[in-house]
Amino acid sequence: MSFLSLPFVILISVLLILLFFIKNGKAERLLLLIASYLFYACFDVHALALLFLLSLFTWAGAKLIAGLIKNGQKDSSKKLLIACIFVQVIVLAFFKYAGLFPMPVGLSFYMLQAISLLADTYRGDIKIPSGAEVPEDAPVVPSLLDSLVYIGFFPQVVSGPIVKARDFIPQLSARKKLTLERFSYGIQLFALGAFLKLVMADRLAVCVDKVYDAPLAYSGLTLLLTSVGYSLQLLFDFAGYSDMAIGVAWLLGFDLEKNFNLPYMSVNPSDFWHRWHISLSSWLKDYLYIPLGGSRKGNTRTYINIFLTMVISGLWHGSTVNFLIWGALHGLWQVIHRALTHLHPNNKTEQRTPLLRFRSVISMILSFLAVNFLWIPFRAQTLSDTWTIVSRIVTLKPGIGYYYVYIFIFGAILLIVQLITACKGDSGNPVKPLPLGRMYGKIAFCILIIATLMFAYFGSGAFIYSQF
Amino acid sequence: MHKTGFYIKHIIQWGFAFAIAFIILNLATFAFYDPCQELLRSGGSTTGFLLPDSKGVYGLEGYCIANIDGNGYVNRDLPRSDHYILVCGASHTEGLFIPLKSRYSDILNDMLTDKDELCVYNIGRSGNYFSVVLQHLDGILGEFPDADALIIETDTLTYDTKALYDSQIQTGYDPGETARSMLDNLSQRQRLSIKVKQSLPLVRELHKQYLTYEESKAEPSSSDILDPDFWEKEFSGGYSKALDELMGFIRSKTDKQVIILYHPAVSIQKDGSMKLLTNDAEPYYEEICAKHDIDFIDMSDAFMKAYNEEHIVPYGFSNTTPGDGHINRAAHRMMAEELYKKLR
Repeated sequence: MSFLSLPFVILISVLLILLFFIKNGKAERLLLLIASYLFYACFDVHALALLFLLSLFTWAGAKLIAGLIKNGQKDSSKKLLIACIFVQVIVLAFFKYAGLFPMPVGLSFYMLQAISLLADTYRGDIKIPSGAEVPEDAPVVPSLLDSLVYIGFFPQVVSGPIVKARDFIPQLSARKKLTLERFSYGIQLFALGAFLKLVMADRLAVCVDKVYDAPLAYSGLTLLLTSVGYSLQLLFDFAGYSDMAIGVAWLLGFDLEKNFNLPYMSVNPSDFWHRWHISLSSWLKDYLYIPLGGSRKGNTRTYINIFLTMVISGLWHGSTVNFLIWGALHGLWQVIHRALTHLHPNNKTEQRTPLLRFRSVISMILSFLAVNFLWIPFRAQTLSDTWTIVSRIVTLKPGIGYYYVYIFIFGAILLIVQLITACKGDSGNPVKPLPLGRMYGKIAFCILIIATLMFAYFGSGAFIYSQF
Repeated sequence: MHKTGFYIKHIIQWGFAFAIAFIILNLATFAFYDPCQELLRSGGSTTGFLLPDSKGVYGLEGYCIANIDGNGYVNRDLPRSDHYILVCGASHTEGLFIPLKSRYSDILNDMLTDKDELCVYNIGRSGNYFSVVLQHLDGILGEFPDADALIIETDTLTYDTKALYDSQIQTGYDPGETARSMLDNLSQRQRLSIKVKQSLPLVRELHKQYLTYEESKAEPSSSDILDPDFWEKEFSGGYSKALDELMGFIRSKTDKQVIILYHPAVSIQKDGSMKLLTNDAEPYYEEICAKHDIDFIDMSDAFMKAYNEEHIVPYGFSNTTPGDGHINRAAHRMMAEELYKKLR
């Protein structure tokens, strides 16, 4: 069941109506669980068993960890935490790398949430908000129902955003009621996401798929342009999905943080990872980079930790050597940038001189080129294809000259949005929710919906990140 | 009462907002998708006319502002020469994907004459494939009895024995059934329907999108029209005889020069080469056409040469993909050049 299908519209509509009338918190969560499992079963009914068993295992682990902590056995709880995480990683690795069975939908994503539940329970980070059903200072062990809903929550079970247990579980006890403002924001995010996916990402996929299928046929310039096309496609595809997921979660009364913040405006690798797939970067930082020692153990160890985190991020994305290379190169880029920053510390000044602005623009262009270049192994089917593409670009090999017009159109749209942001001196996305109470807001929203129907490309439906 | 008023106000506002949004996007649609109206007919030289003396905009594959002449065909507004060549075919020939002057018929026209007149007259119509054109042969020769030569364009030779025989079944010709007479005989309701459709390209675009969506959900067809085993059986059966009869049939209808212009589909291969998608019927056509004094132009070599020497792919546009869809400007030029060699 895709977000962009009639069954999904029916599911969400029925769910919203039922949630409107149900006043009991436990019944609400049970309903969310049923809806989540129904949604997931539509993808793969067999994989639902794995989702359930893994959630059950995580909850049992979390309960045992909390019990051990309560009894003062901190060391044992740590060992148990490591053992539970190890099991999760083994399960993921089995499906991802062994290749014996098809990869269950969303396993990479909900496994990270399961680890978050275990780690946050161990750290005692899960708090219940004041005014909720449980007293504020009560020791929190997430209930089985809460754990099942958290790990299997349908708006983000397939492709994220990855939500931390400490951010989501407290919301289950204090779910926000659907107001007109909330509905307005949620539905707009969903519509914007649908536009990004159906109109922009899927149309760019037409060119990208064609060229990456036979890179030997195309000229170096075409391959370079198509690599830019893929950078745009990936952004619109994943940001579109994230917006839809966040929009649906908003409708259901949950606040999920944004997953993208104009990533191609970043001025360095660190900035990029603060803007791209924010929920994964944040997860990696909290549950991998910091436990590895973060930046607390000297420069060399910091560099190793950064590099390792990025390599693991690459492996999380896929099982081929291309993903390993992608992660390693991102790690290397971050390490080099950090080392250079240490060598030449930047005197931060509030004054935005023309020279500083010029430097920012140059940094932005160079960062985009680096990110764009690194997406090549991410998208190419094999290492050999990666080499073919890179070498043909660098040597400007002759071949078919194919300059897909939508890369220019969508690239220009993104550039305009980024320029507006830059001119405003703002770091956030200037695309703000429309005031649907006002006439012009209503007109703009109607234009968005009709334009999506007009320009949607029907053919390649799958979301890129759902394959990870 | 207050709440009801609030809801009614907002419902009216939403309706109004939708109407304004629709008008804005409808106006925008005129710039990239405003297809010409078709007038279907039972017989004659084609399956239908386009609305005479109208214009259309096609921007979803390539880009073209089409000009429909007084006879309901896509041609430049130039008088037809006393001596002219008639060009028949489907959407490739109609050429609603590239500027009018870049079509092979127009390039050929400009190669053959310096005068501001049409010595190559295009009656291409979408869906009028090779077999359909042949079924309309009586209509073509009836409607254009003074044409000096006849060019029939086709992108495939995948017509099996039965299809070759069926191609001889004529749809008939009614001299009174012209685009102008059909237009004059339209009922008020039909006229209104055309006016509404012409005013609302957005509705047509959305309808087309809906059809594409339905198509995308359908299971891909398993039939392989290029299955070598099938064609081997055909070629070893009565295929040659059927093709011979068909070409004999064409020759029996007219003693004018007839050219079959064949341009095979192509596919870009993983190793960087371009493959011609054919069923290997070309030698049969070459031999049998020659027997009946019909010219057979096969674009295979020209396409391959252009690809191998200049990486030119004959199909596809900058808003679609190379190797797919309709022939582009480069292919039109190549086809015009091959025709010119044959006609000069």
